[in-house]
Formats: sequence, C-alpha cells, structure tokens
Amino acid sequence: MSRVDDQQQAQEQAQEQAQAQPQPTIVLDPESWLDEHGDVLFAHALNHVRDREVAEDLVQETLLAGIEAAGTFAGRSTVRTWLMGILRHKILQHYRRSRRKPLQLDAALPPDGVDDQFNRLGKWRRIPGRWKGDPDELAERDEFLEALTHCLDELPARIREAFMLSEQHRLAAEKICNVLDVTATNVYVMLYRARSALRKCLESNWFGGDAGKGC
Amino acid sequence: MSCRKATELISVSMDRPLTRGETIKLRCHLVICTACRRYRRHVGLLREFLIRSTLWLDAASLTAEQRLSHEARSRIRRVIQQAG
Repeated sequence: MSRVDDQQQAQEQAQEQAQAQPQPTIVLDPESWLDEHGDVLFAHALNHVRDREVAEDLVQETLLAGIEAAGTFAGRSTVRTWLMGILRHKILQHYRRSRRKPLQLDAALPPDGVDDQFNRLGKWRRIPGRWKGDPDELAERDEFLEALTHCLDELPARIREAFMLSEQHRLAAEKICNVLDVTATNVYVMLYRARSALRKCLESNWFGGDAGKGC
Repeated sequence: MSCRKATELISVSMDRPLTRGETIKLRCHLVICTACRRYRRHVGLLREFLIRSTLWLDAASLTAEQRLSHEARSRIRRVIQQAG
C-alpha cells in the first residue's frame, strides 16, 4: 500500500482506540456503607433471624463481602440494592448452616392456626370479613407495619422462615425444601398455615371481621 | 369440596400452578362461596403487603430496636477498617 494509505489506516486505528477506551471506573466508598446502609441491612436481617447478634454478624459479613467484591460492582443497580443482594445470600447460608432435623409436622405445630378456623365438616366458623384499604397506602403506615410485624412474630419460627423465604426471597417451594430440609409437601403445608394464621391475626388486629356465622 | 380444602388449594395456587382438575374444582367452589373468595383476596393482599413492606424499609423510618447499637456499629467499623 502507499504511504498515504498507511497514514490513513493509522489514523483510523487511533480513532478506534480512543473511542474504545473503558468507561470511567465506578468509584465505591466502602467506608460510607456502614453509615448509609448499616441500619437498613440490620433491620432486614433482623426480620429473618430474630437474633440481634446473628443479625449484626450478617451485616458485618455482608459489608466484608462487599469490600472484597467491590471490583465486580458493575453499577447496574444502586449500592443499597447490591448490598441487599449479598445480605440475602448470607441469610440463606445462615439458614442452611443452622439446619435442624427434618420437621415432624404434626408434632411440631400447635393444633390451631388453621384447624380451629373450620368446623369438623370443613366449613368456616367465622366468615372472613371485608378488608378495606389499598396495599400501597397501607404499606406506608407505621401502625399497619407494626400490626403486620406483630402477626409475623406470632408465627412459629419454622413457619415464619418458610413464609419469608417464599414471600421476601421469592424462592420456589423446591428451593425452600432444600434450605429447610423438608419435603415439598411440608413446604406447601407450612405456607398454608402461615397465610391462614397471618390472615386471621391481621383481621383481628387491623381489618376487623364482619361478625358472621360459618356458611 | 369443603372450605377447608378450598383454602388449602388457594394457598397452593400461590406457590405452584394448579392442575386442571384442581382448577375446575376450586372454581366451582368459589362461584358459590363468598367466604373463600374473601380468603383468596386476603392472602393475595398479604403477598402484596410483604413485597411492599420490604421496599419501604427506609433508614429514616426505622425504630431504635431495628438499628445497630453503638457497640455493634463500632465493632463492625473496626473490622471493616482492618479489612479495607
């Protein structure tokens, strides 16, 4: 090729290289994470494990893991979301580590929760009431969240774990089996008991029921 | 189908798709049973509340019990500083 062509080619190559330079690296500030996100991470962990010391350890592990993995943070989500993702993973690890023997369902659960809501023929003793309110609006109200938290606290621990794994972690039943070391059928039963107990508790403590006989 | 059985199926339907047979039986029951229709609405709302209550976990609205204690915060800070 002629020299002019060579020069042109070199110029084009230089232009290409300039355009292909890496994006400016995201600057992370791990020292600020504890101040900005520590409490929220702690509150979320506490929702699951119910033990302050364990929750504190989980927050610490999360922040350390975040520091180690800081190079992989791609900036597609906020730092808060990213750290929450790490925390969720740590919570799952915690559940697996503290796995107990497989649940003996009938022995482990109190007789009520579901059974006392229906008579011997399987009909409602009290018809569920009408619930008024909009989820978006209710979820913003502290008093409602207190009632919800109270009702969650009332659940037996294993039932609550299963329910949180399903509803907060969005785990499928098969995954919950593995984490809690129970069968899929057990998981369905635990979730049913959780929902029925929570429904009844929230109705008593917040929504109020219509006074009605069973159908 | 009893209401007890219907509520079990309603709950299961939130965790896996129902079979065709289950769907038909449940629908037949719900057509005639206000109580179980309300149950279905309520447990659906429960799911919505859980989803939203996580989202609304905002630092400013946490109670004192939901926050790290001073000691815990200091301890974690020391560990992080050593690592970082």
